[in-house]
Amino acid sequence: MSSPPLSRTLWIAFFVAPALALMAIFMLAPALAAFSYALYDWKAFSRGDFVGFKHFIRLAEPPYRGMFLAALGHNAITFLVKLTIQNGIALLIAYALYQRPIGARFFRGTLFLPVILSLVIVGYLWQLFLHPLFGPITLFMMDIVGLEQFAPLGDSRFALATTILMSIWRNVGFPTIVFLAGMNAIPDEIIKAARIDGANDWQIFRRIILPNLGPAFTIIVILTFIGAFEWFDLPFVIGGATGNPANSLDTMALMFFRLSFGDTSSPVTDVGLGGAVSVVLFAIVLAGSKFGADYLRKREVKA
Amino acid sequence: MTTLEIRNVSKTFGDVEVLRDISLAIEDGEFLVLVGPSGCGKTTLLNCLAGLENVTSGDILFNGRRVNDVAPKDRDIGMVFQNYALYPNMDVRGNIAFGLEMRKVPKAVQAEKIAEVARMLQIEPLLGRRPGQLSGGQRQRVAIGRALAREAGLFLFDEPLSNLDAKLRVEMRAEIKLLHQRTRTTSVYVTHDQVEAMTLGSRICIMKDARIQQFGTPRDLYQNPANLFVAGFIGSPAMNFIPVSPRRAGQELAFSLNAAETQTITLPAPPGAATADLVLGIRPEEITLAPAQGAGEAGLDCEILMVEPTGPDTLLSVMINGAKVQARVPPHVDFRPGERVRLALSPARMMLFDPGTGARISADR
Repeated sequence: MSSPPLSRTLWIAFFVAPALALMAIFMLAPALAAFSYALYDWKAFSRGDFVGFKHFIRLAEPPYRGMFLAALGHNAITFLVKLTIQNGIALLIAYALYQRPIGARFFRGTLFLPVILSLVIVGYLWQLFLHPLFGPITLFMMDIVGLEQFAPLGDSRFALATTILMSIWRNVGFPTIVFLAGMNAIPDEIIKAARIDGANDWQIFRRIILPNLGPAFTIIVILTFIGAFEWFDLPFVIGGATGNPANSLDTMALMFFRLSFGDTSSPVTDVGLGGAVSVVLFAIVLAGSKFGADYLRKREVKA
Repeated sequence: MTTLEIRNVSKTFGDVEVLRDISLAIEDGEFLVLVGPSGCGKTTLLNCLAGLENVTSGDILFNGRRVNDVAPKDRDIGMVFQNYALYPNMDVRGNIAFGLEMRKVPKAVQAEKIAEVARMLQIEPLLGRRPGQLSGGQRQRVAIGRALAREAGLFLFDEPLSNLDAKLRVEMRAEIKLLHQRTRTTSVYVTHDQVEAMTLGSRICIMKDARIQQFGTPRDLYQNPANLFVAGFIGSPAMNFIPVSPRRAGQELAFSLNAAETQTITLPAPPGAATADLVLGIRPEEITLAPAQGAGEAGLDCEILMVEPTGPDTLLSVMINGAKVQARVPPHVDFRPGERVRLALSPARMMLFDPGTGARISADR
């Protein structure tokens, strides 16, 4: 029955090769290509001279520095708000569902429904809700609450917050399901033991359930981080390639898109600078995920 | 210090009846074992005692006080679970301390209690470890320690040894017994293992199909089983059951154990016993080797089907009246399958059961 090690190795290679080839062609190669783009000058989409780190230096100087830092700031705010509010809400809902209230299955399904909606639809849906003339939320704020006017998506002070809220509405079902699965994975006997030991519901939540959700927290924090720093879709649907109003929705991904492919107001493209943005974005996400994952894993409980 | 009384307790889950009219009482310091096959309701009964489930009807009394509506944490109980149920996020010290902490025991007293329990269970070197770093036996020790530290009035054990390997199970069983002898805490212990039940229990409650089959001391259950189920459940190897068709002869029932009717046995007829078919029960160790034929003593000539030496004695399988019967004989005779052997079945050791209801119809011994 024992097969020689060589044929075993060949078999393993045989099964691994297709996946490896796909990864190389469609993920590794484009990533390396993007990095190389940043090192050249471009005229529209035709490559010019090799210029080394010129585009990275341009990115570090005005006017692009301010634009990039503002975009990075929006990404960071998005991350912090989603990390605390979206995941906080998800944790509360998950705990409520964990108690198996009447209709738990219905609520679980309903909460998850927006997650499978296309983000473009979510964006337009909320633009309709918030339409400055006939949006139901606008009418409610003006007629019932009594505001003079209500147009948060047109106001650079509120646009980002409003868009983040939309994103939370759309995505909260996902961490909810992950937390719920984590809670359900805690053996019943442990909860019973805690109850007999005299712990009340809050103490069980705080001392038993929360600490045992470590793996769920790790994956959710990392996914929230990646999602927030690569955020593109909703800002694009709401504010276009410039992140209107007044660049208040600009993100790093949006900036990369605008520089590489142009936008409606300026059709000029700057692929080299766009490439530099994408490389910096990639480095931030890679480093953040790596350090985050390492740190969070260390804190998880080894059962 | 707790006496326990269960009065007419029933429990249903929807249409399913899990406990039916359970009543029993034990004294302070007793070790009650609830034993029975899977699904007999023993664990549900334990959960009702813990307050983790509510009874549908009936009362549970601790020290004469009705506790039906008392929360688990206020019942003064410690519980040990089958899967240990240690808190994975806390080290051993934290696991033992948790119950004390919840009850606002001062830190200094906590430390004292933990040290005492750790010494008693020899888990001192493990105090800083997480449950994930412990073996099954060590985890169970910690789980017992956690219950012990609380100095509860009543210990509940839910199949605590089922997940351990055979050798460890025997060791832990002895340790639980010693622990109980030392602390004298009233305990209720659920198991499906009749050996655990016999060795640990001061009294045993055998359950099947949501009902108590018999409640008594281990000796009682072994020597005077109330029905076929109890007779077959307690004892290993199990009691032999032989179908017989007795004739009434005055105050006695007479029946034969082979077709040639060379051994006829007469037993005092139980009051009201019909002469219909009955089941004769006799334990393997009560079947002995008979002297050779012609020595004047009764004996039953049988063919040996199988020989199983266990060390201290040897089990012989033979057929009597169409039933496979095991006899436990001394190990020094070398038997072989196919040989014939003369066995003696002492009438004084026999029991009669009604094959329909399973009820015992011969008198207690």
